[in-house]
Amino acid sequence: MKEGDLLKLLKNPTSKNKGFKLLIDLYQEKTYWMIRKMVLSHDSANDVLQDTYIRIFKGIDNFKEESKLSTWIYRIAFNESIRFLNKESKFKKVELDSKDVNYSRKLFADTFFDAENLSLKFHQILSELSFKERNIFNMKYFDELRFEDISKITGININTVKSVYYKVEKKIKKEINESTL
Amino acid sequence: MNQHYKKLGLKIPKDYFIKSREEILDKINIKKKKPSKKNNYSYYFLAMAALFIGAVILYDFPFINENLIEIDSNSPIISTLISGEEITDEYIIEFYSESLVLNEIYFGH
Repeated sequence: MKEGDLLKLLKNPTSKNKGFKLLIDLYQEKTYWMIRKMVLSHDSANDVLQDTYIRIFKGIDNFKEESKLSTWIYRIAFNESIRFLNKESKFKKVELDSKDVNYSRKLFADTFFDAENLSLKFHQILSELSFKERNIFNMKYFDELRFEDISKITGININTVKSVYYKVEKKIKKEINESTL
Repeated sequence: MNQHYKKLGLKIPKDYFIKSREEILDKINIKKKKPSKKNNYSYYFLAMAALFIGAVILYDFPFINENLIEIDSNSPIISTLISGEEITDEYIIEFYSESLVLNEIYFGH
């Protein structure tokens, strides 16, 4: 289904519920993985995902179509994840250029994490990146978002997004066998 | 999303997305159906607002000019009158944080 058709359903009060179910079917999985890589544990990702979709349902009438619907959804998910992370670490707010010092602790505490050789190596590198670097890399490499969309979701200048991504990609390729990546 | 498992070792419970979808839909429906007590409060506030506006019109209070009667749709109090939800501390915090999540970019550089 095209975004325009979905929006028509969502903006019409009589078809809003039907449209919302379709929206969940279309975007839920991708939104979940984006959130999961930010908050790391499955339980936290589940909570943030639910809050995200409740906000989307409440806010869809105010969606001004200044961006793609998917970009708007991911931006809400991104903001909601930051809100969660800020709430989680009460005394220190998430900062763009700082690392997540609790990365490994959160990862290993999660029962839905399998520590294999490759995943450990990947996470070791990711844990050494700043919040900005990690999220830009994840959004491009794993979520397959376009640079332009990443820029709109995070509010970071598109040229910065590109340069950060290529720098991190080079670093990861260097540390992990290129054929695996 | 196999590579989330293959490369990052991240798993999800069986049938997670089906269950999650139902949970989201349930939460939205529950919120919609939540009844009476909230409505009682909203009727109270609605009645108070109607009395106030009526008094303003009736007595033509000199200290009130047209600018002051403009309704601020970004106010949580006005929002509760329209939505019928109970005005509580949690509601006000939720109102402003929702406005932030929907409208703001946290890191705009």
